[in-house]
Amino acid sequence: MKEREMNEMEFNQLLDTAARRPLTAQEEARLRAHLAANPQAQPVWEEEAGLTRLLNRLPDAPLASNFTARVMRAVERESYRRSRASGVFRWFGRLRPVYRFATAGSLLVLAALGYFQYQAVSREKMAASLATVADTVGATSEVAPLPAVEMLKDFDAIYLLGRTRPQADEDLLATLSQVAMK
Amino acid sequence: MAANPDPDAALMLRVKRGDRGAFEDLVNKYKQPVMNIICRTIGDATEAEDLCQNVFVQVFKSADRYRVSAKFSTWLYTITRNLCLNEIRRRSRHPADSLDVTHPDNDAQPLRQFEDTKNPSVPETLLREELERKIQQALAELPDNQRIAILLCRQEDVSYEEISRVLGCSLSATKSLIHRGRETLKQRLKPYLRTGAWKGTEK
Repeated sequence: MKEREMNEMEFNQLLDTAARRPLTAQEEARLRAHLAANPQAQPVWEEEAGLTRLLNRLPDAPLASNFTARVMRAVERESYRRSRASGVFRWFGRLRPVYRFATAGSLLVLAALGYFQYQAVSREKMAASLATVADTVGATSEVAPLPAVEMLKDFDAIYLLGRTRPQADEDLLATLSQVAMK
Repeated sequence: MAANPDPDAALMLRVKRGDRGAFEDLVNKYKQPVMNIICRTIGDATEAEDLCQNVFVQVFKSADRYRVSAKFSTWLYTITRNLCLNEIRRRSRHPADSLDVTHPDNDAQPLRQFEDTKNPSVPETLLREELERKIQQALAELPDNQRIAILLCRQEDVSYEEISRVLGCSLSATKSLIHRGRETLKQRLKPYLRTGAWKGTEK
C-alpha cells in the first residue's frame, strides 16, 4: 500500500525531528518520497541538515578531570558554613515542643529577673545620691544656719522687694529745689 | 503523577535527605551538558567552569526547596540559564580586560594568551578549529534566549515543553525562538552548510 504523501506541515515536523535526533528508517523513507515528489523542498532540507551537522560538530566544552571532586569540596564547605551559622537554631528546632516552650519560658523569666534587678540597683544608686545631698545640706546649715520659717512666710514680697528699683519722689525733689533757689 | 517517574528526581529527593552519593551521581551525569550550555552561552571556558561549579552548588543549597513538579533536568537548566544571564549582565556592567594587560606576577607575560596561529600543526586540525570558531561565533551573536534555546535543543532528552519552562515562555514562543535562531545561523554559516567543511578544503 502506497504511503500517503506528506503535507508541508508534516514535512516541517520532520525537519524539527531531524534537528533533534537521527531519523528512523521509516521517517527517512517518508522524507525521500516527499523530496522526490517535491524537488523544491530539497534545498530547504539540505540547509536544515547542514546546520544540524555543523552544530553537532561542536565538541564538548573542556572540563577539568577533577571537576566533580571540586564540586563536592565546595558543597562540604557550604555545609560546614551553614551548620556553624545555624547551630543554635538547629539545636532548638530539634527539641520536642514541650521542651521548646520550657526553654523559651525559662529564657523569658531570666530576662524579666534581669530587668527587675536592674531597676532595683538603679533605685539604690538614686537613694544613695539623695542621702549624700541631705548630709551635705545638714553640714552646711551648721555653719550658716538657715533663717526661721516665719521669716520666709512672706517670701514672695521680700523677693520682689529685692528685685524692684526704688522710684524717685518727684514732688519732694521739686519742693527741695524751690527751697534751694530761695 | 507521571507515567514514567524521573530517576533524576528520585536522586534529588535522596540529596534532600542528605545523600551525598546521590548528589555526586547527578553531578557526574549533568556536568558536561551544563558545561556545554554555559561555555557556549558566555563564550569563556575558564569562567564557564567556575559558573558550572556554582550551578551545582546552587542545586545543593536549594535541595531543601526542591519539589517534584517537573523533571530534574528542567530545574537544573533553569538554574543554569539564570546564572548565565546574571554573568552576561555582570559583564555588560564591567567591560572585558584589555588584551595589553600584563600578568600580575610577570610583566613580560600577557594576561591572556592565545594560540600561535603562525605555526600550524596539522592543516586539517586548523581548518576544523576554524570552522568550530565560526560556528561558535555565529552562536555568540544570537540573542541570549535564542542561543540558549538552540543549545538546549541539542540535548535529546529535553522536550520543547521543558525548554519553554526553562526559558519561561510559551511553547509556541519557544518554537519561534528556535526557528528564528536557526534561520539566522543558516544565513551566517551559509558557505559551510552544503559541505560541512571550510571553503579552503573544497577541491
